[in-house]
Amino acid sequence: MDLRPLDYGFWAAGTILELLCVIWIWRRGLHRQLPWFATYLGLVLTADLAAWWLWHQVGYTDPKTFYIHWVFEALLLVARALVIAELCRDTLAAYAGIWKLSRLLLLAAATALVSFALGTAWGAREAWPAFIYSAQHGLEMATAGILLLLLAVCRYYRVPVRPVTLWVAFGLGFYAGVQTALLAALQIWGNASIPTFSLIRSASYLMALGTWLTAAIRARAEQVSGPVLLPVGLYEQTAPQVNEQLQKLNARLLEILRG
Amino acid sequence: MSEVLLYSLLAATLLALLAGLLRALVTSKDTEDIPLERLLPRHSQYFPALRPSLQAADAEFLRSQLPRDEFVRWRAERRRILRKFLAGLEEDCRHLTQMARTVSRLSPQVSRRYEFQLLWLQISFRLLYVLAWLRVSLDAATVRSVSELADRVGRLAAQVEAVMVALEPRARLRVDSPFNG
Repeated sequence: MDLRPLDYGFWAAGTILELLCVIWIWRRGLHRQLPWFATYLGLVLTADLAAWWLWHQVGYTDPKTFYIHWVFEALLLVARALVIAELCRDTLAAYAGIWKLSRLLLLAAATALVSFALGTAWGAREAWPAFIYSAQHGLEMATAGILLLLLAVCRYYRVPVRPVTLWVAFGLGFYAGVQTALLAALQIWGNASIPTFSLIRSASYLMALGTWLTAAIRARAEQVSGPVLLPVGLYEQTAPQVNEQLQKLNARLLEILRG
Repeated sequence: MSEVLLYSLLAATLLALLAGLLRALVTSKDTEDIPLERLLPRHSQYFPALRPSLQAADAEFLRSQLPRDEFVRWRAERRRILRKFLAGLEEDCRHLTQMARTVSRLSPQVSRRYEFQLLWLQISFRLLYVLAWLRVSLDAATVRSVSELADRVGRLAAQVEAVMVALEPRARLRVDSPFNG
């Protein structure tokens, strides 16, 4: 299987951007703030260089290439899950109360989405490629879904999110969203569309890398102090009263409606 | 084919939501400090003064007494005032929920029950608000169906409330506060 010059161009651009990302992450000290993200990028870079070497030295059809490729895929999958968990912790852990609540919510959503993805893939286990596509599709959707839920929780509670965390989450979510659409479209247009979709996928990955690189370059080394939490008990006093006031507002609206 | 279309739509929705949330989080000004007194409900206290204008009997009486153009003017003015009042209630709701979320965010412990109750109350407020706005804006002919819908929402709210209480039977702390005025 021969690669086109454009494929080489995307490959080279991706590898260079990954390298730049890793360098800037280290320069800004972001590897201390987001260690799993730094590990993930390092792993992606290693996987790309390994793929390059395998492709040209060992050969595309060699079993060694097959196994190494899938080992890296599995490692990247785990690393990506850890990056998402890290983003959740990095954003919400300082807010003890809502962190406990949203951790449960995020875990439940992750379990449901991943179970759904694996369940759907299991239904297609007779054909190996269909199983892979199905699992990949479901997991990409789970990634986008969990990140979306995280951002929604941040928006709901007005949690200030560091720009670098926000852009890392956006890059991951954007790439997962594009992958979801492409994998769905692949089922309509079939294998003939693979080269085109592969280019779109590579372009979206470059955009995600560009987002991460910009975030890393703009990031400032800062020691962010955690929020000052309110005394225990204040919530227990306030929450029921606010809810009661909201009930009263709803009652007013009902009264207007009933005329 | 339909499943693929569904997935494509889902992916497009995910991307749109992601971009929307990112934009909202980047440009968010909600974390700015707002004085507490501005967050307390202010508009709902005027409701007793407005209540008579909601009575259908008044409208019927005026319709029979006033010339048509004056009655139309009266109705338009009444509608304007009620809409303004509704906007005030919406502001009260927004401020209250903003305060509640800030307290939740900064609390070392939050109750699942109160948080889900708060979320549900906001959703039911939104629903009722839209219905009330329609009730005020539309003609009398459609009012009955809107009222029935509102009753259903009200009953549903009561049921959800009962379920929440059953799920977490905790005594509610009641203290004097600026809310009870």
